[in-house]
Amino acid sequence: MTTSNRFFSLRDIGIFFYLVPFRMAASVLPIGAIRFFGLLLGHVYSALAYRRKRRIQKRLRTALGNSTTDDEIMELSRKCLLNAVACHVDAFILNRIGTQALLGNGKVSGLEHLRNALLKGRGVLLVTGHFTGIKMASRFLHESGYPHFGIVKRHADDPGASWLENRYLAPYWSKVIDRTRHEPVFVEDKDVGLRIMKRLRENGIVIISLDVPFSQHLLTRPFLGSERAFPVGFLRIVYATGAAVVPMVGIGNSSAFHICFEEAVNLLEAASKDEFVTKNIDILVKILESQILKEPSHWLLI
Amino acid sequence: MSIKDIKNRIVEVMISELELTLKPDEIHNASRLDDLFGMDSIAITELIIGIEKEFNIKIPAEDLSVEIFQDLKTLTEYVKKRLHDETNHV
Repeated sequence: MTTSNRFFSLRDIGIFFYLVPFRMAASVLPIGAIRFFGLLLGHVYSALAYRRKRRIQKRLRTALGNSTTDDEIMELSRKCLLNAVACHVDAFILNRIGTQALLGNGKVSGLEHLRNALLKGRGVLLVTGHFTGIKMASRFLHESGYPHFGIVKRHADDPGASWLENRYLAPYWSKVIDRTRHEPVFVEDKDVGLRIMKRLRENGIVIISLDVPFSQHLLTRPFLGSERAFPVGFLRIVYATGAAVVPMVGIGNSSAFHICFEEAVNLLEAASKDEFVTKNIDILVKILESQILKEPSHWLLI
Repeated sequence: MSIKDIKNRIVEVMISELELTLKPDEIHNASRLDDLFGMDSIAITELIIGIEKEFNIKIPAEDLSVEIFQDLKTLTEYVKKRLHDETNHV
């Protein structure tokens, strides 16, 4: 685990309030009231978190280039913060909403691509990024009878976070938030590769977040104007098993969402697994990049 | 096929599929496979495919657990059992 220089930061207080009193209140208050409070909180956060907003603006400028005006960048950064807060608030109410009510609140497109990929019988890796609607997409798959799991990280190792956050708050965050997922599988577990393979052999679905380096196998690639390390271990599994890779985007939250499944990726063939990984990670990175550029304010890692 | 033959072929698969620089004896003498070459969970999946190709068997989803990969002896016995089961099934 990465060590941090600081024992404690102001951010820790925010995380504590989110994970304990807010979470408890969210389990009993009416859903409408929680959403209203979340919206209010989003506006307050957006107004106060000027340093974070400035960082987002800088990243947006790098990603979007000079074709976007300063006003547009500022508006996008405001939306980024609002969407992030709405997404975190939604994590606590998502499972309180009944299936029919929930599925009536959004749109799902391209489901035929997922079905076609599953028809091949080798399982599907749904490749996505940390978009606002990722938990909603997981709930949709669960309710629609598609067995799946996503890979999550149990321990934090953020060098920018305090010792307290890395040691206690982040693992607790993971534990609490992962309760909203179905069957979380932790990247730290020794059998993670086997569980992926098992699920694929059962012609099931595994969700892979391409934008986080949760892997022992990483490759750095140009991404949104800078460079980023991408996990590539899953591509070695694809090479070995012949599983299909289907890009997915989920944006919004339980009150309004859009989940989009894209056509299965035509992966390039290669003589060796290393060549396969190198060739195809570039294709997937480009897809993720285009997904983010379409909806930059819904990408949580901006 | 004898246990010894199966074991030797598994070791060959390990060396080729996982691109190991170890000598066969080092693998034979290891008490645990993961201690020996830090086998990560992705490597295990590659090993499974390699073993399936080598022995022309299929490891069913319900058998995929870390237990059968804990050491060479357990893995060898498992492969022998699969070979026996599949031969009888045919």
